[in-house]
Amino acid sequence: MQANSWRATARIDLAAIRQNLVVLTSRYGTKKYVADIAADAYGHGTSEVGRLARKAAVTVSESSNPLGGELYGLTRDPLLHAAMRVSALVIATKTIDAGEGVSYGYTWHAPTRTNLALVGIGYADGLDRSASNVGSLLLGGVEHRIVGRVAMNALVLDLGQHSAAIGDEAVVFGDPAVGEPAVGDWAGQLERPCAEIVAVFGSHLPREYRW
Amino acid sequence: MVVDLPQTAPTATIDLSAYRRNLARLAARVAPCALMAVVKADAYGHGLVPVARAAVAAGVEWIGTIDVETGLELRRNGIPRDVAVLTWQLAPNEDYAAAIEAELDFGVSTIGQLEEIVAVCASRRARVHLKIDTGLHRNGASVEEWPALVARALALSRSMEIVGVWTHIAEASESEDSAAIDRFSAALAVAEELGASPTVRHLGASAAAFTRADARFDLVRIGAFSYGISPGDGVSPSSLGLEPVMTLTAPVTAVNLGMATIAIGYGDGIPSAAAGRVRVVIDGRPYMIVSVQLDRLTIDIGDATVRPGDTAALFGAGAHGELTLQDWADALGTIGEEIVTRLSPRIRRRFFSEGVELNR
Ligand SMILES: Cc1ncc(COP(=O)(O)O)c(C=O)c1O
Repeated sequence: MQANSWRATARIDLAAIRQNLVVLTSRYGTKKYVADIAADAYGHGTSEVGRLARKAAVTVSESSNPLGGELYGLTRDPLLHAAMRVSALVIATKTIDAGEGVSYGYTWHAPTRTNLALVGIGYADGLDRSASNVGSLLLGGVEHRIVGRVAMNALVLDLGQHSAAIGDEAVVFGDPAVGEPAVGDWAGQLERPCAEIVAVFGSHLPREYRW
Repeated sequence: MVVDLPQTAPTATIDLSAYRRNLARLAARVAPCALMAVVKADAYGHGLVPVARAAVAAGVEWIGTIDVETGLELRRNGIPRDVAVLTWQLAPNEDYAAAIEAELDFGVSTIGQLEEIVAVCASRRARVHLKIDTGLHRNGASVEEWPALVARALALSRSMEIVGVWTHIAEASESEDSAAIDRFSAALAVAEELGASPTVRHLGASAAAFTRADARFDLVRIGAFSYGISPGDGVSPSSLGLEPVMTLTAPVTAVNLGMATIAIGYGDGIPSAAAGRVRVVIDGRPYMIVSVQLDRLTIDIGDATVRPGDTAALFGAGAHGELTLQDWADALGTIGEEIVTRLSPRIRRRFFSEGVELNR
């Protein structure tokens, strides 16, 4: 786990996992249901998830099974809720003129004078480099596109005429009930399994637990 | 490399001798310019502390991490104070007091950061490197902000020393990089006119430092190339005289109906997109990955003899027929850095120097 929790965080909602356990044990039967905690509980933390499972008298397995992602709300099932939220902070802001390039290789040039926000999350944290010029993050209630290449520890958002302040939070995915993008939206755009997205973020970002 | 040990779990084997040889070749190439070993993102997934120690043992006097927390971790693990440690992603409420006492260097982009640094009570002067944005548009002061940033740092000279003036470039094209170098030279002239006399002026990272003498100035900050990670586009590490440092292996755990299961998956950082694109090598023979799951992957072995307990090489230096990181990056349409930095910290790292394993 890297220490720089001020830049980016994976927040884990253990109440959502507990609730998912209730749904799944009543669906499959407490005796039959096996909680899949492979790959550090899909990046959610083996010890925390394991504790919840034991409290619910559910068997755990460290070997993955095809339905294992249900526990973490990674399917389309409306009764199950995603438990991980990934966000990062604005670490710098600037305004650039039309025609100026952004980030490595200048793969994006500003079409007009525009405001940018540098956000402290990158591919070493699990935010795919293939999201460059494609993905967007929610900042100040508005989705802003990633412009230029995603770097190892940072990316740039095009804010257009909006502005942001250092320390503002940008959300990669979280709780759709409060208007945040769903992990499935993010995974779908990158054509990757949801489980891969959460497992990789969860193994690199500092985790913060909500009970 | 020692890769034929019995394994029960995926392992990244780190050849610190190869790392030191890379550093030596790079240092010789950029001399008389000095070299900073960049060890951010857990030394590009290779393991922060052993890599930083190897750099210091190789005579490197500058280390680059990204955040203060990692810089403090290096000091706690015995990186000596005569080795400068540069940090540049500074938190809004950074603990500068601890960082100044630990003699970390700060890459500063704003007057606000200078004010935060002087606001703390410290027994020594802070070491700052003032950063100008020459076109990358991440951090760094703009051309308009630059004179005021330099002037403020000079005015605070009782509390801080301007150790460096620096920038980071886009490596976009030769002409665009030349334009960035010109902007940097102009910013240096402005700083000197205002009275600054930095010890080191630095701009280049791996590729620019390697190829362009005019990108070197006094110091270059080298990450990728020191790990034998080349920029791709047909440029291999060996064509640059560099060696891959990491070998990634995992055990075969089951064999059934022409398929074998390997104990590493996307939860360990192997991109799911590797299915159908990348081969792993067992006993010198390549086998295509047909699917990647959370904690395992499946390879097509046809009627070959593969047994549980065999070791599969995912990538390495290529000496035993295994693919290289560059092969993976090319097949997946990305760069080697993304693949190694995504690897889970839970994957065991084993460190070897001169063929002998280090105990941690
Ligand atoms: C400011 C800075 N300098 C140097 C480097 C090292 O770059 P490279 O890995 O290309 O050598 C990096 C990493 O991207 C960086 O952010």
